[in-house]
Amino acid sequence: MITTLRVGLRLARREFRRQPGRAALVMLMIAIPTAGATVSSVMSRTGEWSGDAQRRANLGTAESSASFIGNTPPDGVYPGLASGEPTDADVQRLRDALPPDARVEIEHTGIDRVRLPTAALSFTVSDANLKSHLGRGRYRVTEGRAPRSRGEAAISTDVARILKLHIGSSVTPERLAHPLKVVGLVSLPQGYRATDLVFTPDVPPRAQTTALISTPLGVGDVPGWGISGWQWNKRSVTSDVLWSYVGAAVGLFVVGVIVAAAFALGARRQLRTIGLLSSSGASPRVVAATLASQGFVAGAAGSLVGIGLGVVGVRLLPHHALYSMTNQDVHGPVVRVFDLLPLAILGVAAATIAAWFPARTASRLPTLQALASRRPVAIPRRRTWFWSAGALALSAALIVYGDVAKDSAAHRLALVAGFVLPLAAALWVAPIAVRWLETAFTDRSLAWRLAGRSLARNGPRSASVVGAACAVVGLVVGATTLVASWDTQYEDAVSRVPFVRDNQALLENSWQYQPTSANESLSETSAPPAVPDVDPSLVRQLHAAVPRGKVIPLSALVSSTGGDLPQYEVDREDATLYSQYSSSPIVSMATPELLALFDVPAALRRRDAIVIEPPDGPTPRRVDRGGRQGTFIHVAAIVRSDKASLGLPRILLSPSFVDRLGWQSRFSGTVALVADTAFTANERQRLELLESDIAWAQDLRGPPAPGTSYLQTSLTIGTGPYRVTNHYPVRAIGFGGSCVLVLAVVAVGLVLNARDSDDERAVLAATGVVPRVSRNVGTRKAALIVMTATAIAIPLALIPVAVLVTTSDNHPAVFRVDWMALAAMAIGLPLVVSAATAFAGYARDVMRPRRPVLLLDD
Amino acid sequence: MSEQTPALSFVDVVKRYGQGATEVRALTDLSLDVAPGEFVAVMGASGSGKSTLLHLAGGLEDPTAGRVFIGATALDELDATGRAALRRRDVGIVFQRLNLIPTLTAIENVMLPLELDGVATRSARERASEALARVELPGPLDRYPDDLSGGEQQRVAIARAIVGERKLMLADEPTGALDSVTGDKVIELLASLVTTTGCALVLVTHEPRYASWADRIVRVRDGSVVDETRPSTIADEIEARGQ
Amino acid sequence: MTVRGVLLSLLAEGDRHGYQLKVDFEERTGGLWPLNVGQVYTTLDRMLRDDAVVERGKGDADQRVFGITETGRRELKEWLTTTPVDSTPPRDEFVMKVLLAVQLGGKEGLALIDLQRAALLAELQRSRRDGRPRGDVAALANDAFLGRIEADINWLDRCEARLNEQTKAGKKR
Repeated sequence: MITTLRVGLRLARREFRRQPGRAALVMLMIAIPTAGATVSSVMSRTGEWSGDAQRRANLGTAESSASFIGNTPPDGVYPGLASGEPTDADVQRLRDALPPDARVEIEHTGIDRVRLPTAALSFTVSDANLKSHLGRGRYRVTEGRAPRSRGEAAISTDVARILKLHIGSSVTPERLAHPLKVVGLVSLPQGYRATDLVFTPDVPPRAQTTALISTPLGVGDVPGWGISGWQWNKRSVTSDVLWSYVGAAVGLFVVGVIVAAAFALGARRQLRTIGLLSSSGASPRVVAATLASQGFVAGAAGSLVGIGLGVVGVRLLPHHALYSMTNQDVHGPVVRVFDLLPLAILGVAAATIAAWFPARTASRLPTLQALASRRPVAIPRRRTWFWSAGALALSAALIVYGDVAKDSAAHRLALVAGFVLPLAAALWVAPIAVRWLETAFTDRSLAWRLAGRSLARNGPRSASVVGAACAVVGLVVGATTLVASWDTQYEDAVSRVPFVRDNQALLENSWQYQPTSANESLSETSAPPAVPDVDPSLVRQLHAAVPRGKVIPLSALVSSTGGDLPQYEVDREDATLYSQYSSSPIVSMATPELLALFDVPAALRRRDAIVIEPPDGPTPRRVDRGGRQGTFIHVAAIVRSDKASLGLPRILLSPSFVDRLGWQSRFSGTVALVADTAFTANERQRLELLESDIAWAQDLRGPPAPGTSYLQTSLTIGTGPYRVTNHYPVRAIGFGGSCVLVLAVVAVGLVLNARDSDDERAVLAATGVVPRVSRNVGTRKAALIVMTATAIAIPLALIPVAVLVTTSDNHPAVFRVDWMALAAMAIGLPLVVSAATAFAGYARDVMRPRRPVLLLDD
Repeated sequence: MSEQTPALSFVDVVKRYGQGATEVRALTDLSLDVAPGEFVAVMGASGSGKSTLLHLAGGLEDPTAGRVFIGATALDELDATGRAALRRRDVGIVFQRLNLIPTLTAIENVMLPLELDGVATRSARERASEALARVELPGPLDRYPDDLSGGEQQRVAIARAIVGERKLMLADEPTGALDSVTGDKVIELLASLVTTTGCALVLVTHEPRYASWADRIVRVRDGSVVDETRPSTIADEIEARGQ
Repeated sequence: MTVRGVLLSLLAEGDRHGYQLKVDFEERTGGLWPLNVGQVYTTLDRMLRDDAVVERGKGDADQRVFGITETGRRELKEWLTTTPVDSTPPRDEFVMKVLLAVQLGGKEGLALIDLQRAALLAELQRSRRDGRPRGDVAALANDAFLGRIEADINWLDRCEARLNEQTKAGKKR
């Protein structure tokens, strides 16, 4: 058995040396998903916090912590801030509840902020003893020293960077109201927000009190104190790594189709070898194993290359990329051999399995036929239609079942399977389509007819090439359609204000209602009260954050005439869910500036945005808007975004219509910051700081009284493009990648076919056909392969996306096809591939003129 | 006739291809014994089924009826794996051309049946180089088939067919792709190997000059064999009729 | 004609006397063609008459020595460059027997053909067992012999095919 394996490996090695192109293709196919999964698993592991590291970051060397919760009711809205300072008796009560040898350290943390001319920064002030035993492991003094007395502070390196502070400089927080001298820089553990901490013995009033407790015996309930130990959910982290394996498996399945095609062509080429092996005494199983070991070798090489590329790639990532990928301040990628081992195994297994199927088929061939390099023409069976239909039905069922809304491993797996299954359907359909090519071009020109016949006569081989191309095209079409359909939904959710572009930010005041209890049912609200102007100091900070931007006050419509105001029904469920944000829609006059600000064309293109009439349109008419919030608006000329989920409802009314309604409008409540181009990373960071500062400022005011409305100021920063047309990178990568892959597949198909076509061309030449025509046969073949593949793959890829998009509760997206990507696949890809094939054929003819007639003595 | 078990034995073998109207009878009631160490040449018009006979002997095809024995082993009692084992150990086959796996060197091609049989690489190499010495192959043995002349390729193929303790060698027009001088030498080599190794040889050829090397020449006619080197029986038959 | 041509070619290499010509003749033809001295002299006399050769006096043992003339050279050239092709079918015994066998038809005809072939094959085998004759010329001459036998066997195959066709046609009728 071992020597048999050795023979197989020897043959595999030699075969690769003879066919470097195919070997490289297979290796590349295996390497690409493996590299991707390597990056993903390394990043999962990097983002992982070991239980110990997490505990240390939170508790230092302590076992548990206790927070003083005072007398706040358990369902209080702001328990932390409402707690207040514990009295000595409260602290004593905690000590009494602990075993005598327990060690306790009390820390206070409060919120304060610094206003600078250009920025405002809110941060947490802590009096944690940086040198204490219990706290060790949380914070590390990297420069200077720990603060010793009041008026001294150690700040995190990130705070120092943002506020441009250094050791020796001083800073005056608002609430402390006296300057702090910076004496040291502290590095925070992984996972802390960059702007989190300033250490000083001074603590602002109304701080939160925390006790670090070290006792191995554990702590029971202590009145007035909330006790928490550290729990670490190991499974969630590991499952991230596991999902990267699932991703790798799916990717490998898709490329496996291509690899299998390459090996099927290889097996065809090696038929004589197979026959000789068999006649020299290799049993069918040994023959299959010998061929499959070619897959083993390619898989091993490919996955090694892929893992190597992935690891090198991750190591080359800059720090901020790691930050954004893991959402944490990590120190560097964590590469573990045991995480990568399964990927190597998957890669090897995928290539071996992909090689096994054609190997098994080839080994079953009667020895004499193999010796004659003859392969029976496979007749596609009728039931393949049923199989394909069944696969599609199963795919749809799996997708409906596995809709991402239900986020469990089983559902996700079902979803993955649902998206992979249509590929199986494509593989079943391909032989039928290829067979159809035989008669499809009977009345066409010679080149087309020959190309169709040649593909059809070599049915199984052509089908595997077409199937491989299907995999590539289907992947790109499916991905672009999914992106196109989901695109705006996700972006809306992120931007909070629908249709605000990435060069815009909105600063707005709105009224919020503080419920008396979490369970209070909301009464239906009607017109919002007038909102006051935006704080001018905030406007100044907006200017400071983006000096090149323009701040435009926006009009809000205020009803003076009462009853004509549109009525809004606020969905109770949503109001409960988003009571922080949503109460009433903002009604604005659609001034030209405003229309310019909102991406109206994008809004119009979407079903959930409604325009009723142009601004100067005829009679107002009633519009019935579908969806979960049944709202009836008896107005005309509305550009409306009704994304109630996270965005504020916004209604734009045309000036003429406002006049007709007799509404008053005044510029108040909202200003927009607009820049010519997208915000830079730096501007965005400054805006984000301002955003969190505004949020903190709200918190600093303390909780609003239950049962009252309070004014809330919020800054929303537009993110992301909205237009599908902006997905050029996705398309470029998809189109470029698919061109390369399909070209490779077609090249392997045609090159391996070269001997047959050489014979064919020799005969053509002998009968007086000019070289151009016989070259055209190759070009037509390439075009036919790609066109057949797109014809199969595009509908098959669209079906699962359509099912997902239209059935999903989670993302009520609109099924939309990325026509440009589709056109690129359906028209561009065949053109590029046949052009490349034509060029290759021409170059070959020029460089290596053919003998006029080959003697075919087989 | 000696009583020892023949190296190859056909008993009432029938081989038909196709069915019904398109049925072609390749062999009908063919019986043939090849004694150990005997060199039998099989002749016959093209399409007479002489290659079919060889394929049946190598277990590459199944007879429609009748039995084929290699030594005492009946081929119909073996599955594909068992026949493969037989081809590794007992029966060597040489075809007209393209006998060698292009990705293996000459010596590796010869080692192939041994290695497939589980012989360690080193001893397989030793035995293969012995076999190559027997076929008088000049030059280094680690050349690839593409670098060998046609005659050399056939010698390597013959070496592969005799490596190990073979009982039977089957050669299907082994000289068909060679010029006549090289062909003569290859046949001479085969004939001498029969005497030196004691391995039986069945040579399918349509060239009388190559067949003339054989101990016995048989002709496949109408699906069965006629012994061409014992004409006396035929003469007797004519005489008997004449009377 | 053959004897005359070979003798001329020998004389073209140099003058020879009668016996020497006989020895050289047999050597050159690979021993395929035994020749007696009388035949040599008869041929020489004829060539003298045609002015193809001349007498060049007496040799050591008082033998007549012959040399080639210009006419002889021309004749030699003509002889060497002409390929002898039998324009009539062979009329030998073998051919006659087989032709009769074909007309006899059926099993008997086939048996007769087999008999002839067996004999030819036996001849091939015998010559094979005798081993290759030494010397290039002899080996080539032997090859010519074997080639003719092979040709005869191939012809027998053709006769057999013809016979089979007849039998089949007869059966159909």
